[in-house]
Amino acid sequence: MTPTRTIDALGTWCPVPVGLLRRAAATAAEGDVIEVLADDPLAAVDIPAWCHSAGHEVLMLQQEGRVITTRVRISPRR
Amino acid sequence: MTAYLDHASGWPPSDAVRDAMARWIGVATSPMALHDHARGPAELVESAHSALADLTGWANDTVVLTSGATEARNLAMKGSIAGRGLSTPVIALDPLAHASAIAAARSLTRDGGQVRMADVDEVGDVMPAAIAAAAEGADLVVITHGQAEVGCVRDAAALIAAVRTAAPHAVVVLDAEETAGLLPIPDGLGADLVVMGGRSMGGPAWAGALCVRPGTLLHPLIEGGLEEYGKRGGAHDLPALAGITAAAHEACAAMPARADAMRAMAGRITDGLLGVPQVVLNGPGPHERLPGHVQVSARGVEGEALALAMAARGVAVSPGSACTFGAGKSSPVLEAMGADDDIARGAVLITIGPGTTDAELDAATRAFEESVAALRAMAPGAP
Repeated sequence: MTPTRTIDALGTWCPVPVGLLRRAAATAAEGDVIEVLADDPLAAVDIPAWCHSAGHEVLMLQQEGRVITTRVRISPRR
Repeated sequence: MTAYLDHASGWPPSDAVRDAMARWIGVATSPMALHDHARGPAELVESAHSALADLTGWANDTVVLTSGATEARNLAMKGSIAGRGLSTPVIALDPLAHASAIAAARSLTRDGGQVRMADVDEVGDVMPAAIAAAAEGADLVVITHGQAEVGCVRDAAALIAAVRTAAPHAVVVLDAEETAGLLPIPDGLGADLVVMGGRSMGGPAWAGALCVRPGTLLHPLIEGGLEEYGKRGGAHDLPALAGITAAAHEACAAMPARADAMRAMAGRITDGLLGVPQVVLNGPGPHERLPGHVQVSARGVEGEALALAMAARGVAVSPGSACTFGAGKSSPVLEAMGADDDIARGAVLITIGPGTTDAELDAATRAFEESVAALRAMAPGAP
């Protein structure tokens, strides 16, 4: 699924990647897909954990080299 | 001081810029705070993003606010190389690039890689074939739009198009420190990263921005929190942001009339300066250079001595090469253009702003003529 927007969080350390995702999600429409690129290994833990608590769906989580790519579908506000 | 013709050092602020900056002095609330006091600062930061994004036509979230063009340039070069994880990059630029771009290129290749310099011609221009030759297979290419010292404005769109063919994988940086707000840079003229500074817009030089084309990978240079989308940590300088925002609005509204007026004044003073014997204009003619920019050399005269002699007569100008000022060296820029030592040592830079008056131009012409005559009278063998 093509992302609605991509956040380049490369070079930043947690909690910045999840913070940028949270900020983008606040203004996104239901069904939007936000892609996050990060290279802090903790992003692979933090982002799914936050999505679980916020009710958003993790569509993809993959690592290629040092780059962790996460795609999140924005759910209705809970 | 009877004439201020050193806008290369800084523009006297317009009333709008001064008022905007004054309003924010003493406001201590972070725009990141959650309470109501943060609303104004947060709106100011967003308006700065918007005003600077308007210069490229890109979205507001492409703008990373910085402490000026030098930081933006370092962020562009070091951040994009780090973003791709390159340890031995090949970097192409030209020898007339800003000193901080050349220093950053050397720093990035300290442990390997290569810095390649494109050939420049006798007026400081770079041809597409020259940048293509230097850029072949490069990882990073820096295109300087307006050259600060000799004023040459390059055809950046053509140069970037040539780079895209020669180095399809290169990240291209457009250094628009001298042109943003004065000359149009729609779509960043095709670049991936655009360096801007407040000065060329009439704002504070200690505010600037890096505009990042979506998809360009960039590591922060200053790490911190969520400020500037994670690409530039640290507190915002609210008065400086207010100044650059007001200046960008004024610059957008005044373009191109402001540039035309500055070119006309530069043409007028150039005619007066060239009336002094053995004085030459460095760089291109008045219509192919940065608006308001004049650099001349007087044979037999040191540029620093000439600038000081003019200052003693109430006229503020710069020695020809700001970056080697005080070092007692010839201008490396003029040397790279093939100028002889007399020309390279004898340059002064006169930079005009939109508020410059005819009286200032006349005073500067008189001071130049008197100063050259006085210095030559003291120098054995001078013309």
